Amino acid sequence: MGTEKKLVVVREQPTLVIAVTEDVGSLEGPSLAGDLAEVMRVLESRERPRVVVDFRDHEYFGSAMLETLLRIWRAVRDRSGRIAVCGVSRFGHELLGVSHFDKLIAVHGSLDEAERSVHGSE
Amino acid sequence: MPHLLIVDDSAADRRLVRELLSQGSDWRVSESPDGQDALERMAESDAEGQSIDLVLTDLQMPRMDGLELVRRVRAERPGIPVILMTAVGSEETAVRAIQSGAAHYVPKRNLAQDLAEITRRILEVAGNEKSLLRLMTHRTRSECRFELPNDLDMIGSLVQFLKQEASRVGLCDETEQFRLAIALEEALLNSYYHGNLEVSSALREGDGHAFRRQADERRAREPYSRRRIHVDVSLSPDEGRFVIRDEGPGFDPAGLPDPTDPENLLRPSGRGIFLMRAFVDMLEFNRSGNQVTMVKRRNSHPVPS
Repeated sequence: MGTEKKLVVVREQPTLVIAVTEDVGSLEGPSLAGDLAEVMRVLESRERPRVVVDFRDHEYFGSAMLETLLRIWRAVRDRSGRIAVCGVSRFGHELLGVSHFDKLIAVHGSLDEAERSVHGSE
Repeated sequence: MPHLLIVDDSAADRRLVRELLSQGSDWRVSESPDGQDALERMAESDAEGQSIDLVLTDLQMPRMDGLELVRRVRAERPGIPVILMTAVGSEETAVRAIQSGAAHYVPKRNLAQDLAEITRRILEVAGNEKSLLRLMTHRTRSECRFELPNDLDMIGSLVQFLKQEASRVGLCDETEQFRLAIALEEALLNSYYHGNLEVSSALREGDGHAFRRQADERRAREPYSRRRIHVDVSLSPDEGRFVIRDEGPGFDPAGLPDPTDPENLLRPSGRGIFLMRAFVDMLEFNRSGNQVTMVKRRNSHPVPS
């Protein structure tokens, strides 16, 4: 398992863009939790945050990433914000579909599209 | 006849290396002026059916230097060894190159003395590895058994190993490897957290710190620390069978909530076993719930609606 950060805030305004920096298997749960704490510190300082999680076409992620996405989704919802994901691989689409996460979070092809969707009708 | 590629932006140095390698050997030698050209030359050689067997490269070059070339060859052609030829003062970079996967390095001042012998040795080792890899492509069955301590790093290594084994015997293509890896990770994590360490999913609610804290604490404490995860694997081109058992008290899998039920969708836990079911063809727990058997068949896509 790698020691690099798996989740990184790459931009804060106008959209909070969180990048997934590599494939994240479920065994990465403990290190992912540390990265998530940093993301939450940024997120929790916002009102009505507009958030995009950019998977950058990394092929693989498991239940630990789903749990992480859910925690981010909850924080965004609690602050009346909006969230979308983008750059999801074919397998990632399958995983989001199987777990019904695609009913919870909008999935877009590109970062541009995802940003437009979270800022839509403002 | 082994085919070597010399990569150096100095034509005089390339000529010198070619002469050193031609003494007393029947190696075929090609040349490139930089790393980028070398990668192109390797692709051309493949297309001509005369693949490069070994690369000898300088470090400082325009377009793509030797360090980057080592990384690219390592990533794209892991069976091809790279020998670095280093000038005085570049020892530190040479160490980084070795860490990046270079097979050896020879200081330029020692080329006349050492290069041919080191090249011969590296070619011999690479030839043996290549033969072994070819042999492995003809393997039709693989069986193995592991008894793991409660160690996430080791579990990760096992998942990687089993993924590769499933690919080597021809059971899984790349996408199926992802599905298999998810199922194995989730099964092993279930044995680790909920089986051997008896950490409750309820602790995942909130920020999840309590869950991880309890797991870390129990890993070091008896009786949890003595418990092992037992893994029995049988792989063939048609089917993979994985039996994973922990030494915990077990649980009732029938009592698990459906994580796709809208009522449960927002809970952070409870997806592991659901994903296992989604990505294998058969999944069965024993009566006490501390052993799971999973079967993965070739070219199957058991994804539920």
